[in-house]
Amino acid sequence: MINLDNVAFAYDNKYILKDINLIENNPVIIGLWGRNGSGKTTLMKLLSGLEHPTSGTVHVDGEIPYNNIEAMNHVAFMQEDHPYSDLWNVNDALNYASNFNDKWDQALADQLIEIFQLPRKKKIRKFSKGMKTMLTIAIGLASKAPVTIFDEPSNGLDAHMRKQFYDILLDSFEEDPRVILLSTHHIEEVEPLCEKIAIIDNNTLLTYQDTESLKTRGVHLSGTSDAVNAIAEQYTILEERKLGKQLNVMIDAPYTEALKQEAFSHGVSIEKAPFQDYLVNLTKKEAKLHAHA
Amino acid sequence: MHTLNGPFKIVAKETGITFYISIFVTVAIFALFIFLSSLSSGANSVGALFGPFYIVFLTLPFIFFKAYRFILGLGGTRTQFVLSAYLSSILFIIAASVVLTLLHFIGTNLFEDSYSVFHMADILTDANIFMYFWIDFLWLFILFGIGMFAQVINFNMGTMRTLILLGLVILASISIYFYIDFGPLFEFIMTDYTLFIHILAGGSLILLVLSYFMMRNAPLERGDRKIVKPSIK
Repeated sequence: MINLDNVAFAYDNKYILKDINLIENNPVIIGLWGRNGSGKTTLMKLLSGLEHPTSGTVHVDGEIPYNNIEAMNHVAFMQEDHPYSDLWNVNDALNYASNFNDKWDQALADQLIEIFQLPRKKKIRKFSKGMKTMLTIAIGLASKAPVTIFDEPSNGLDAHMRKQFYDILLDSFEEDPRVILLSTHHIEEVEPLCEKIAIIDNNTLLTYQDTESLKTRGVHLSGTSDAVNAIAEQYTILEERKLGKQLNVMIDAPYTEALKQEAFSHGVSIEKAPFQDYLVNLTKKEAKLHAHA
Repeated sequence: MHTLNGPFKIVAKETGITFYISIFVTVAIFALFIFLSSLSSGANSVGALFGPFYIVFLTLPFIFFKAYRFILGLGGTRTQFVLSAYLSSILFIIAASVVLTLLHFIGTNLFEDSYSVFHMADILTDANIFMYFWIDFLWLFILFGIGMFAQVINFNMGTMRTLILLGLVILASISIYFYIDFGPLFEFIMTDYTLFIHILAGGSLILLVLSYFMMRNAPLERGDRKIVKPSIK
């Protein structure tokens, strides 16, 4: 369904993305995480055919998406600040969107507009950010595109709407399994939905793996410097804080029973690091310095 | 479902209001000119009806280019945008030519000698109703082609580079004006007006073809076209 083969994209004289290799042949919800400027949006633009790779090949559902009229039925990319005309209302937006997707589900679109309580005849330019996001979500889900991409889909939604969106997304995926890519800055929000997670860092794909296995990684160790170092030296240290003789580190290791036993035997306290903290530290420049040291 | 359906509707929506307003303005001017013609007893031309439409079609690409982002945002391609823009513009040009021709013939037939409004086909001595339509069509097509090419350059190169280019064109035009004798050209226009506007329409067609090729791989954002490929670090 998605096949990125050695993809690179350069803008001006700088690589925004390079050495991207990713294959996904099964319907799955993927979380795409990366820091600001990491290249997430560029990757989504390449997948949706808005941009052409500088080198390498992109295939979505068997089609090269760039400038390919046929590809519009295979991929839908709903942008964070999706462009809508000042002249359009909800009915216009749904009507036009339906013309771009063979698999368009009007009943689902109507149902979502009802659930989100969007006024059908009010101009979209008068909508709040949250209302625009809801409309974008409705169009993206109703497109039923085999590859559906949402850029920061929960931005502007309140807690209630966010929960509704996640429920609807899961229902829609169950009913019509497809590849749904959710880009986010806050992985903990979408992680329960995502079977797999792709992490973009330093202009490349750092990792693409099952959420469950990635979630086990990231461990906090704290204790005396000697005891902590005895364990931590075997792993990449992602974060390090000293408080007198006490040392607190985050290591890039799976939180396993064996590691817990080892920590107890050294008199070191151990706990699982929050997933978001782990990813932030994993993609910090200092982490790379520790790794190379 | 035809793949141009959606893009065509989006472009038509963006340009429709401007087009309908220009019809309304043209009809209002028509009524005013009838009134003025009756006062001037038809001796001198009181004006021309085509002004609003000619201005609209010169600037139409600057209006419908907003649709570029909407079409791409819904999954369309650059090619679909250009083709649907051309298709909707040609349909609007036909409709505008019909309106201009109809108004002209309503004026000349109902008010006969008292109607003295200039039409671009009046230069021809033996023009029939079809020629009136065709002359309007060609002029609107010429202006649309020029407007499209200007906007495509502006979109690809950005405002700064477009203004520099425009400055160079103006300088070149002034130089040509002082060093070239335009007498034969004016004579050619007056003696072979039909051939002249067909040549201009041919030039406009070339501009539209060039615009198509420039937009086929156009940047997402205005002014992002790179003329020289930079070396990548």
